[in-house]
Amino acid sequence: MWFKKKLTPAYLLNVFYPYLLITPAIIFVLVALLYPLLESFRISFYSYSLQYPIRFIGLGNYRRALNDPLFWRSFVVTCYFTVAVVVAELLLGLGLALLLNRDLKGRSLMRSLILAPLVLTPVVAGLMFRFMYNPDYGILDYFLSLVGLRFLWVSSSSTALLSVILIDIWEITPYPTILFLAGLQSIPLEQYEAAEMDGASRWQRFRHVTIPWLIPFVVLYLIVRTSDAFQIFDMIFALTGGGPAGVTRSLSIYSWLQGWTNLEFGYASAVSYVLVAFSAVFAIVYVRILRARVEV
Amino acid sequence: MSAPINKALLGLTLIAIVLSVAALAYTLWVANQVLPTIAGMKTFMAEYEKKLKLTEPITFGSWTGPEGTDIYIIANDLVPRYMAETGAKVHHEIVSRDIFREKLAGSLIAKSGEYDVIWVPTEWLPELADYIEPLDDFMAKHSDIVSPGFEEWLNDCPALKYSYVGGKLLFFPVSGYDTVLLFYRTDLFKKYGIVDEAGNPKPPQTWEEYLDVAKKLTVDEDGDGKIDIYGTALFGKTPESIAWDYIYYLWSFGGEIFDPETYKVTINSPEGIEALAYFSDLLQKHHVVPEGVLTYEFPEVYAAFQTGKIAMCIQWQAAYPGWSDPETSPLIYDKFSYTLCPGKRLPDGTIRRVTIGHQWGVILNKYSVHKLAAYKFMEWLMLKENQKRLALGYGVCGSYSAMIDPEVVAKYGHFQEVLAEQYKYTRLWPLTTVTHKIIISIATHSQEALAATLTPKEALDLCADEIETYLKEAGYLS
Repeated sequence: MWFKKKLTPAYLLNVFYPYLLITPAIIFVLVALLYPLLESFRISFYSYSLQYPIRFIGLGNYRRALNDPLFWRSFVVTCYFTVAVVVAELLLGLGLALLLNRDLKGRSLMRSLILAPLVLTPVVAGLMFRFMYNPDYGILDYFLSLVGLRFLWVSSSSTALLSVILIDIWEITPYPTILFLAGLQSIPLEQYEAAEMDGASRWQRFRHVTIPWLIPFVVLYLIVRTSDAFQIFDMIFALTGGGPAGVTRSLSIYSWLQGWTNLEFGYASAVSYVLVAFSAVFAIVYVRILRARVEV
Repeated sequence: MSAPINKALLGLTLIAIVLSVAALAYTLWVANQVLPTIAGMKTFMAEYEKKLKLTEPITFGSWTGPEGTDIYIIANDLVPRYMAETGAKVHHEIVSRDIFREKLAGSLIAKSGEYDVIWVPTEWLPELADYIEPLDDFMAKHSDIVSPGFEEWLNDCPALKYSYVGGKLLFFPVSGYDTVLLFYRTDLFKKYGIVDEAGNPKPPQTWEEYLDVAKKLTVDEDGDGKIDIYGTALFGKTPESIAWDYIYYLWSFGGEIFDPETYKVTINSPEGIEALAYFSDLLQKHHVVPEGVLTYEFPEVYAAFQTGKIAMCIQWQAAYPGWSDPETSPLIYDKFSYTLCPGKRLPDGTIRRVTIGHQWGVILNKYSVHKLAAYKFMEWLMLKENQKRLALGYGVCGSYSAMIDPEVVAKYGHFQEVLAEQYKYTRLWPLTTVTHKIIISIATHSQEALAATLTPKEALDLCADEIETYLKEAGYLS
């Protein structure tokens, strides 16, 4: 009978075996990722300062964030940072990818050197540059002093954010480089040959063959990198802690300060979710604007 | 039944009765011997178990400093000595300064027993009181493990009064009362003529003199157009170091954070603004501090003085042992001295000196599962011989008697005299449940003035608004 056949042990094992194999991963995701996400979202609706009774305040934390000048200053810092690093890394990454795609002597060594910073964690990069940027003992100012220059790097409010951006560019540019290099190497050579036969110049080949083929990679890079840059935390934490005078205080740093320094976990969660909302909006905008170009 | 059988039965019955009585008597005799032993064994086992509990492994969490010379002594001398003496196991986890508060306070608030004993400053006590085991109650409950005379001995600690919150003893003041002093290079003072009639270095007494001296000592010694030595330095770093610097400028200029009676916020009073203007002008207008002071805190000021980059500084007393060591400070160990911090000259001619101070010590985690062992470790740190060891390495400790021990005085005599004098002008942060938030707010906004992104008035107005919000939320202000 089909009914009995369906419920044989062998049949059940066949059906459920794949799920059994992925169960540990699902449990991990639920416990380590989903539960904290949901719980932090829940407490964002509470006045969850550990010094006072916890109470439900609805959108109170979100209203507080939107009326908090420090929140908006952190938002502006985050936007400056994101735009600067995303654009700079895109252009630099494309340039390096084009360079590495050529048949040059020492290409392997160049690749290794260019890609090396990516293996560092952001915290390590931040700590490394904290010493290198020191205006009194740092190696960078030592070399600058040999040519009569001096730069305060993260010791001045006018140069600190730029100094942070430079570190991020140095560390993360290898990522778009690899991505665009993969893209370049996936372009069929026939496209270039056909364009050359049609009399296209080098620039025209780049504009009408290379760029269109790279657009999906650019979209992917923009979505991933914008979201990533918007959430910048660890490198700034190690390097400046958000100072001086808050000029490097990103939204993530601000959320951490509220949560772990002021022990206001409800408000910190709300700031984090506003950050998530902005990231989601940017991702949707990118996909909408650039999807048409990808489909074409 | 026949008569012989009856007699036999009777005989057997009598024998059985005698044997029973004998057995009963024997049982009672055995019980009389054994029961006390059982009871004794129970007592022995209970005591043995308690002794085992006293030597259970515990985790002691502290920060690294580096102005934690006392922690260095505890880690390298006292903890190993405790383990050797008692057979107990202490895992001393030293947490990076950057995340010290987050990790240790966070573990308390999470009601985790991860740390049994935690190294904290007094200003954290009101905020974390609900998560700390009251030590007076604990000692009363476990009086059998409290060392004889220990409670009376605690009164030897001058800072014990800061260890109470809500009438409960929460804290053993292991380390000495910390404060800042003015340290200065005697050779540079002489070289640039900042001396008295007898030719001895003349350190500044007022803020006006301090600025004058700082200007004179900001010099380009080799004539290459670059400043080689700055007059002084500041703690300019956030999240909180700058607040610990600015606060005594605020107080000595006559300002207050808030009225102690009404809690009305007054940090943005004219005195507060004047103090912040003076503080930030040291960098922005007079350029008598290194350009990188926005990133300076204890280690940077320590290194700057140690390497001759600054001629004087207001620095925590913890710097003294390292600076006076010829091995670690060969350039300056015999070329510096120290005195009281400058203050504000008042119309009547007196000088209003005020410095910030605080007290480090240990608390017992309310959620620790090794409280007996943790308490014994805390108590051991407070014993006189161990306090003396701390004082010999650090200059100060929690116990007054240990500090005035002849051996300690012989090593640190003059330093202790100056410190004792400075203590008269030392204040702690006002102890509220939002003190830490107030410190962060002051740090955030005073750095904005120091960096000239806001004027002193704008910065302090923002600061005042924030502090007022915190005090209202905490119920100090209606």
